[in-house]
Amino acid sequence: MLVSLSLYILVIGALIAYLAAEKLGAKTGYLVFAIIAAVQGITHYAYVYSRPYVERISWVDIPGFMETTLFFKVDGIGFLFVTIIMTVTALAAIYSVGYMEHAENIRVYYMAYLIYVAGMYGAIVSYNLIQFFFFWELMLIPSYYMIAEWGYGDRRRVAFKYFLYTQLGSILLIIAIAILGTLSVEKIGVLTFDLDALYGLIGSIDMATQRLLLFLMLIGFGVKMALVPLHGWLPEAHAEAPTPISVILSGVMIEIGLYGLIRYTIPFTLDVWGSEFFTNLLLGLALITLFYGGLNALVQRDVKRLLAYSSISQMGYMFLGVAALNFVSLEGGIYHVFSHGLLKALLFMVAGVMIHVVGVRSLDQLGGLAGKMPLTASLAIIGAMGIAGLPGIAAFISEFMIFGGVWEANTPYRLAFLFIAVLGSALSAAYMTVFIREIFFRELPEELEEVGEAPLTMLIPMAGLAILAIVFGVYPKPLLDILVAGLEEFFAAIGGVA
Amino acid sequence: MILVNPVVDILLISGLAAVIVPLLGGLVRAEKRFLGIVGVLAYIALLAYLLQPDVWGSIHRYEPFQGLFSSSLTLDGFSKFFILVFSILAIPVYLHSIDYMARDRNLVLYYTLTGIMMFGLIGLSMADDLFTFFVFWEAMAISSYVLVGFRYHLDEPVEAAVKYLVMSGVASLLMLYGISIIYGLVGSLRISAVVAYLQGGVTGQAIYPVLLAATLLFIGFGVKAAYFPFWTWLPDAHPAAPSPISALLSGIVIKAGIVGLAKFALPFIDLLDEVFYPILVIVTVVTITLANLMALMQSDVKRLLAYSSIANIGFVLIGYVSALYGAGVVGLAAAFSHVLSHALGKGLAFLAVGGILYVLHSRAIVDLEGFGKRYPGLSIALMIALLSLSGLPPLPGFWSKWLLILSAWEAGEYLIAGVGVFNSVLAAIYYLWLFQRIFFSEPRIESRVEVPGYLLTSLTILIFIMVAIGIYPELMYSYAFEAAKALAPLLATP
Repeated sequence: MLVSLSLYILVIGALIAYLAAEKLGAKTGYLVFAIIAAVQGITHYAYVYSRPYVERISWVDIPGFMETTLFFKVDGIGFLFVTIIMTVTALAAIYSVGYMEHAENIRVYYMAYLIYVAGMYGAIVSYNLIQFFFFWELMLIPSYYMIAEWGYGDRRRVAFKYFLYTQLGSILLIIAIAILGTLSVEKIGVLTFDLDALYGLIGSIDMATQRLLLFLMLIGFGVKMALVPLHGWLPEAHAEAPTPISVILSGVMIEIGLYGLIRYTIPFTLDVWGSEFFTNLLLGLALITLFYGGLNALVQRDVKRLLAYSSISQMGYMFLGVAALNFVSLEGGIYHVFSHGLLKALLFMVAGVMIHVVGVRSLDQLGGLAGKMPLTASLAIIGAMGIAGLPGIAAFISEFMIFGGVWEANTPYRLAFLFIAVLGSALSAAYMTVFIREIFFRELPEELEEVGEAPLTMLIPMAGLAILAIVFGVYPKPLLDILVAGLEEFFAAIGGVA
Repeated sequence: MILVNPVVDILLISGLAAVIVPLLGGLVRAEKRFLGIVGVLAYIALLAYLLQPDVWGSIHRYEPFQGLFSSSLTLDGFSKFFILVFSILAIPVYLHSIDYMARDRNLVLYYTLTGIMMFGLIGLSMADDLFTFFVFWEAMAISSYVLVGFRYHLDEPVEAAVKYLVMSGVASLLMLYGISIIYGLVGSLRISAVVAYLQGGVTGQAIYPVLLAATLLFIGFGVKAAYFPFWTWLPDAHPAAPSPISALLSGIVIKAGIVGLAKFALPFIDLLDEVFYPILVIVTVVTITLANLMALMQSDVKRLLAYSSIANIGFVLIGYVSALYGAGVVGLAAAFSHVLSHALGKGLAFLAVGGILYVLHSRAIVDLEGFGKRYPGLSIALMIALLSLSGLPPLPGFWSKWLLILSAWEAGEYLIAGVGVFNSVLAAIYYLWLFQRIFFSEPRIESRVEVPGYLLTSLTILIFIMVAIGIYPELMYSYAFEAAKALAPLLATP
């Protein structure tokens, strides 16, 4: 009841926003914030009073053919993802008020925005494979449209490329879903996609099928996660999207691919994933992603491109946690989704300030702004310190747990992997230092003498993100408790590993 | 409420929609376009009649003649499903015609012919023997020839209609020859008798006439359904017809071939599966791939849709192939789901293009650039239709295509599953490119014509049905599954 209510609120809210935006213009962002906050409130209530929250509605119920329900479940893992998605999107909605004030066609913007949020929310709370895919695809069209309509540069081509990559990934997912559906007909006797039924298949899937499933789903989700070498769409899309959308793309959307891997791939490919060979392979893939993104970020001269490559690099960390596949590493990986979501959203908003307030997005033409916009500068430094992995900010905790998890991975080379991964942190620190120095320190160019502080509608969301990042860096216990409960349940459901 | 017998009642309602038009046409002097209302009301009545519990709940038979021309009609899950599909599309098409055909002459003829075509379709979906089937088939076919060439003062429709007439006429004759062979073999044209004969085992020399008959039926239905290599008439005929008729032709008339194939040819193919297996696989793969590639090359939006119809017939064949070679009922259910989702999607697409033609007078894709800025409603309707056809959720095309791929996988037809997936993504990407041109380019043609109300209503109805099915696929699956179950006894391997 509560989760479907939330989905109704988002979809009907999209229509209301469309109508309201005719009068309110960009200020509809406040309304959008309220809608998203309401959804977060409802979900919070649902989770806190019945951990985990479960909701099933009859959907396709044809005896002898297909019996699958609309199955919503908010467990610890899902709750963490929902919270970060709602936090980032709600704050980005306020940010849009300032950022999109001169944009044309703003009515469609907020409508697409809420449908996009509905897609992400639905994907996380679904506990049914085909239903998950349904929402997964629902994210695509609005995000595509927002990049193509309000983006920068060669936006049509960039958006098209984004669509193309994602759609090609989806083909493989569809085949994987067809395989699991066929297995459910063979083993359960009826076509079903409810995860509680599908988890019953674990242990009866032969190795060849598991390998096939891993191959299909790793690529399918990997495109969204921008694992190297499937990352081609990301640097352009994240850099050219309108900034509030970059915030969402980098901060939360690509992480949904990771969520898909945890929820829908690991359980069905447990034996393959946990084997030594594949552990090496996946950890290697994560490290390649980490270093490729980091090294590229180091040499970028465009604020948003630097951050986009940094997202690839950070995705390497998250995937490292998932690839190592043990309790601590998964805990770290998922917590990193949360902390990276806050910090990367904050940094993209800083980049948005450069574009919107300063009007310059090349690092070569920026500099010395710390004196002109002290608040923005302090917030940006908090974000940069977080990504660099300094203690006291949320990402430190998650990276630390990821490293701990890698040490427990099922591979004899874990020391080497761990060493290289820790080395990667130095890389993060390096590109973040470049980012801060080139924008806020050095000499102030003459053209930027007139620049003032960013408007409040931009500062408030940034401050909110920074405060949350510090609070959950100093006192992560409430979230970690929820996450541990979720992971315990998850491992119990798939019968294993921990 | 049942008047005589549900079968007769349904034929009466649908026949009345055709017959009453010329009578009313004599009475109504001005505004003949409103004769379309007759069709709308008739098919709403038919749907209401069909869905009442005592009609929907059980199987009804009607046998008007005995002896040589023995005839029988059955209203079972299969025919109910197809009548449902046909009626659902007929309503918006009639509504659309009110505005779209307003500037044409001979509207009495137009509505009468459309009525007869629908009557033929509804009759043939209930036919239980080849004789009755053929009678309704010809009623449908002959009226559709005239409708394609309805604007006979233009060159293109006449040429297309003649091509269609020749090809389809030859196909009908081949089919008739096949039917006569079957009569000679079995002594009856009842499908139950034919199936009993086939499942009794055909051995030795007797297999050759059976093979000949099966081939003739396969060709006969193939020309109507327009799969490879019998499709050549379709890309000419469907664009040439008036848009509402294109919607009917692409949406449901080609499905008559699918009905015939399912009910009368599948038992033969099932018996002769060693011969037909490679043929079916080749036909399916080539139909989908080639038609899709041809669609991508078109510069005329109606031709594009026509080729896309052929590709979708290929998708329906995926379901048949999987049903015959392992997936059974699931394969048939997938095929029928796709019949419904394609009828809705293609119907909407042609009706939206009809709207575009109404305001723009051009079918060239180039002229559609920037069209979305002027006419967002029409453009969004066209895009919804295209996205559904390419299989994106939350639209019915996703649910049917996905089930087709699953059934192919279940039957072990990995090649066909791969071809299906690849083609739907290819189409999705192409349609997205079209979307960019329609919405993001600068407008090329200035037009200030208002989009008329009935036309918009017809699009809204279809969009509404599509979104409902997209969110609740059970609406589609349950009917399709009933239809598949009704047909399953005809196959030796259910």
